[in-house]
Parts: sequence; C-alpha cells; structure tokens
Amino acid sequence: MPPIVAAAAAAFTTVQGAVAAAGIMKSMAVVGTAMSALGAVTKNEKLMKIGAVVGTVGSLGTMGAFGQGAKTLGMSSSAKAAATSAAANRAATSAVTGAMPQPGALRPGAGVLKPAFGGGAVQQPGLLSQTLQQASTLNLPPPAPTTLLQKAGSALSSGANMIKENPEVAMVLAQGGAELANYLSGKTDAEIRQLESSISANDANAQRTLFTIAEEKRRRANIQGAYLPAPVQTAPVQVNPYQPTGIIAGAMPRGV
Amino acid sequence: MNIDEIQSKIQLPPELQDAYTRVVAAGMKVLFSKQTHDLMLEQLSAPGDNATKLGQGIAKVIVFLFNESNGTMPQDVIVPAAMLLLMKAADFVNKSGKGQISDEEIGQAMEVLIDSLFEGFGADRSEFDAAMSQEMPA
Repeated sequence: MPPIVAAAAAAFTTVQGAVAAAGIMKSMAVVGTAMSALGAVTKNEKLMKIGAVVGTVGSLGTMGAFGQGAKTLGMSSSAKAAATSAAANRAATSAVTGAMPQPGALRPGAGVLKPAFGGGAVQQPGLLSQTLQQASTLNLPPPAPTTLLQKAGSALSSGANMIKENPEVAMVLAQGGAELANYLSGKTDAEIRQLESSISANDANAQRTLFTIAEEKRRRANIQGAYLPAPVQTAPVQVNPYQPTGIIAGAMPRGV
Repeated sequence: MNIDEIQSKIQLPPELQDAYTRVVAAGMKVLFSKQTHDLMLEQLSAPGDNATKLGQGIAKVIVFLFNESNGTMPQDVIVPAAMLLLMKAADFVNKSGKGQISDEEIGQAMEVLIDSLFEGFGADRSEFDAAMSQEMPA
C-alpha cells in the first residue's frame, strides 16, 4: 500500500465528539428537498421522510439541533407561529431585562388556538400537547395576540366573559350553521353585541359568525315589525335586437 | 438516476456555497486521484452489499476530510457534500463497469451514509431518531 494511502486509511477513523448531532442534522436540513427527491427517485420511504422532516425544520430555521423546529413539528401554521413567537418573546425578554418573570405565566391556550375553534387544524394532538407542556415552562408573560386570527382565538378562549361562562360556544362556533343560529337565538342583545365585538373579521369562522349574527339581527328586526329592505339582485336587461318590440308590433305584418 | 436532477435540488445558502464546492472537490480528489483511488476500489471490492460499502465509504471520506481540515470544515456542508459524493461514486461505478449499483441501492446507501456519519463523528443520534419516529403531518 502506498504511504499516502496508508496515511489516508489511518485517518479514516471516528472523531469522537468532533461534530455534534446538531451539526449533522443542520446540514441535513440544508438538503431536505434533495433528500426527498432522492428518496422519490430511489423509492426509499425513509429518505423521503427524512427529507420531509428536515425540510420542515429547515424552513422554520434550526435552533440548536432540531430545536424549536422539532418542538413545533406537526403543528398547524397558527400553532407554530404562536409557539415560535413565544420562544422569540422569551429571548427578547431575557435580553432586555436579564431576569425572567415567574414561571407558569404562559397559559396553554393563551396564544394557541383551540382545536375546536377551527382556526388551525391540529394534526397531531400529541405533539401539540407536548409543545403546550413545553410552553408552560417558558418564563414570560402571555404574548399579546399578534394576528387577527389569534385575537379571535384569544377572545373566544379567554377574553370574553360570555365565552368563559359558556364553554360550549367554541364547539358551537366550530359547528356553525343551524346550531350557531339556535345558540344565538337564546342570547340577549347585550350578549350578542359582546360576542360580535369580540370576534375579529379576518377568519373564516369569524366571518361566518358575523354573517349569522347579522342574520339573527335581521330576524329580530323583522319580528319587531321593522322590516329591512331585502337586497334585490337585478340583472341588467338584455335587449334582443331581433325580437319584435311588443305584441302589437310583433303582430304587424312585415313591410307595412 | 439523473444525478444532475438531484444535484440541482441541493441548494445551499450563498455563504456555504464556496465551502461546499471546496469539500466536494476535495472529496472527488480523494475518490479519484491517482494516489487514493485504490482506497475506493478496495472499499468497493470488499465483501458486503453495495449500499453498505458505498455509504460507509463516503462517510469515511467525509470524516477524513474533516480531520484533514483540522475541524475547520463547516458542519453545514457535511451532508450535502456527502450526498453528492455518494451519487458521483455510484455513477462512476456504473459507468466504469466496476459494478452495477441500482437506484434502490443508492437510496439504501444514503441511509447507511447518514448512520455512518453519526457513527463516524461520534454524534448522539437520539434526537434525530426521536424526530424520525414522529408521525408525519398529513
């Protein structure tokens, strides 16, 4: 064996602890797409899974090994945003104050939508509960709702007193349709107004709720005799140039 | 398998591109240079299946390069460079008539490569295994 080959062979040994698992996993995240493609070409499901997992993590930005990305794996985009913003808030709080607030300040549900609300479909409840468990150990005050969707979820889950006192509302709102109308029909005007004001308008469920509220208002107004004018959709008149202008004209012989 | 297609999907951040190119070039030199080519042939002719030989062999090359760089090789390029080197080596074997490595074997070799990288660098793979054991989102 040539000397250089022998030297190279000697160098082909393990290097204990030289590269942490984080390094390897981060480098895997760089090629998540290529790994998936290679898995697809070679019909290797494990590679496809690796590519999908590390690709997801890579798109979120790796922190530590899989770090925060792994903590939010399998969550909906809304839940991921809430979880990652919580981590960002923690870092910011730590950097600014240098001291951490009391633990347990973050309540599960304060920034993460309830599954029943439908704002973010939770695909893996097990992972979500794990993340909530991890989030409950974060040392920071509850993050302020940043998006309208989160605001609506926050209002429905913890903001409005009526919702607090009526926990079935989340389920009713998720079901929508006739159940929602029935639910609303049993509420006072004040409760209706409170519910209306607590819902932001940027979510599909919120839109649906606002629509049903409007319907309920209209129904009540109708009951009181103040009939509101129903919007009438009128299509523009299409004139057929070949049609006679009327019965008389149509009955007239041509050329007269 | 079209290597160019896979290679085009290996898209690194601009700041890693230079390091990636240098590591791949160094790896190609180890695989195909006159002095060290024997090592590769020796690895390929050893008993065992192609996937294991290929995956372990490329992992050894990467560990070798890392050692040679005195640990200065950016860790982010380890897997991308290893992936490309593996496909280049498989392509060489197929085109040179030294053997025949199927697409399925390349996929298996990639699995072996990842396992061997963890082993070669002495890295704890428990977190990786935990992530892989999670059910994928629908």
